[in-house]
Amino acid sequence: MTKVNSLVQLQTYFSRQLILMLRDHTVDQEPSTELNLLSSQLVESNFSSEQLINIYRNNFLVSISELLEQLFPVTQALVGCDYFTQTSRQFIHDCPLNEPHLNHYGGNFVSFLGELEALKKMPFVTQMAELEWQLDRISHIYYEPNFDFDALAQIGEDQYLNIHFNLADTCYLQSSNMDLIALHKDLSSPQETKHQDANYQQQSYILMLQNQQGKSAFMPVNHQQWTWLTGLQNSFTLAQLCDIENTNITPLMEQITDWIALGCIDGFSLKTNIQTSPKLA
Amino acid sequence: MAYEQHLLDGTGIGLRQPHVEHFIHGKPSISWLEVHSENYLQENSKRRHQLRHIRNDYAISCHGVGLSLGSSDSLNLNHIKSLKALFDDIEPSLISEHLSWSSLDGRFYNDLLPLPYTDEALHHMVNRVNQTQDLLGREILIENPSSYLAFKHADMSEPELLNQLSQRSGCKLLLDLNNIYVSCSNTKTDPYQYLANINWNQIGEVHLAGHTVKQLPQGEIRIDTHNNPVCDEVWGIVDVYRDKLQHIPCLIEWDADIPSLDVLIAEATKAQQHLGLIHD
Repeated sequence: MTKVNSLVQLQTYFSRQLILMLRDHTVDQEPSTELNLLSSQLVESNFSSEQLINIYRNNFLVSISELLEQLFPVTQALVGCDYFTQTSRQFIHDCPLNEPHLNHYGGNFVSFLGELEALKKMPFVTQMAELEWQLDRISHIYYEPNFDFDALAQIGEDQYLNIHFNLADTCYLQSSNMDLIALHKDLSSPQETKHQDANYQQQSYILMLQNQQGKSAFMPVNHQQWTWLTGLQNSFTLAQLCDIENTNITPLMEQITDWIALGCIDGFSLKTNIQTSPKLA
Repeated sequence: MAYEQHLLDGTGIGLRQPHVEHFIHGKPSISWLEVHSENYLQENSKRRHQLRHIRNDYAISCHGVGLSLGSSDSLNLNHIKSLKALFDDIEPSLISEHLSWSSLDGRFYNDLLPLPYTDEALHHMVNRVNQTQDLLGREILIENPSSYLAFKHADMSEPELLNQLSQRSGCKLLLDLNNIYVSCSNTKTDPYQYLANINWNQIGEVHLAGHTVKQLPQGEIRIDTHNNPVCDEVWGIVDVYRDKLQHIPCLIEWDADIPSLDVLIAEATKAQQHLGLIHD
């Protein structure tokens, strides 16, 4: 029998054994030969080589599966435990962890779900996963709102329309043709509080943010707020924001003030050489 | 950042997320804390900020699981760079990693996988530890892993390899007594023989943890789960080696099914009693 005579060869065989059975079709003749080779290198014990390697496989699989379950509990409730487990395994097989930590791994799961043929007709599943991932991401950011009101007070009124307000990193915008917030609340709450006659088929615009307690939170916004928020995200000035909603600056500034209070806006800059429109009045 | 100086000695506990607020808003009575380095790599994260805050009141040890020192892959320089930034920021008293591998061809397994204790593996580990220490500009400690299997073509025992590794690379050793007990039970070897062969002069830290006994048709196997109190057999080892252990920083590790902070501190107090550092 051929010997596994180098560290790299042993690790290659061992690695392949670890990812076996994540997907049924990966079990083929070659790995079985490798298992025999690997087995021949192990000191005899009461347990089979497969049982011993399975301990390491389980450690690896369970730790990553548990991470996905913790990150995406509502998505799991949406698709059911069996489908979630099966999909998680497929993800772990197809999209290996390529960093020595798990800090970013859940983000890849969202894009993976988006590519699944079975979920193409249910885009809200991927959207729910995106919402959960962003809520988790936001919760980990260190953020202390510290808007410079004194600097803003120095800006002359004639320059107001050239101001661009920065959306904080702790904010995330998401839209859906489903009422994701209602769906999230119903799937997160105990069975008895669910709305039996809920209609989730409505357009929703969502603002995610870090609240004053440092926790992530989300809230619905209306179409006008959504337009302004996406404008801020695209570095629009107040003049441009007034233009796209055909409003004057007063309601816009009221809204901006609210967002500063919520910690959604963390600074501003002045954009020069921009044609201001007469929306100040 | 200039932190207050705190001595890392006596018995510490692993800092786990459910207990962080206790350390932010108070000063629980425990000598020192250990964190998993990989949980604090992101510079602008809330966790990193919290750790800076806690570092003001406690000595910290950084325990890594991601360096994959035994892997045939090349060393992950990006990871080392992130670790160095963390260590420069937090100024830990101790830094540790494992005698194991966890990646191949860029794929990470999030587990500590077993090495064959061959001359090749020793040579490889010596090179990797040397490289890591040079890049970090700091000494590291290497921990013995829990094993569920052993390789026939080993050229030496685990304590022999650890002694050689320490001698050739200048690293210190982190002796996990629970891992020794788990590995020796699973491979039908004697934990006291293991401890008789280790070079105690090189031990810079000790870990104590709980494990799980899993029943299989052919018998029981011990799994290193860190979700239980330390078992009686491991306390027995502590009692036998008390004179050596009481001069080494000792950590209670509890990573899953995490209990209240009071339970963890009680376990640390129990360790101090076994070590003869306090009396009933």
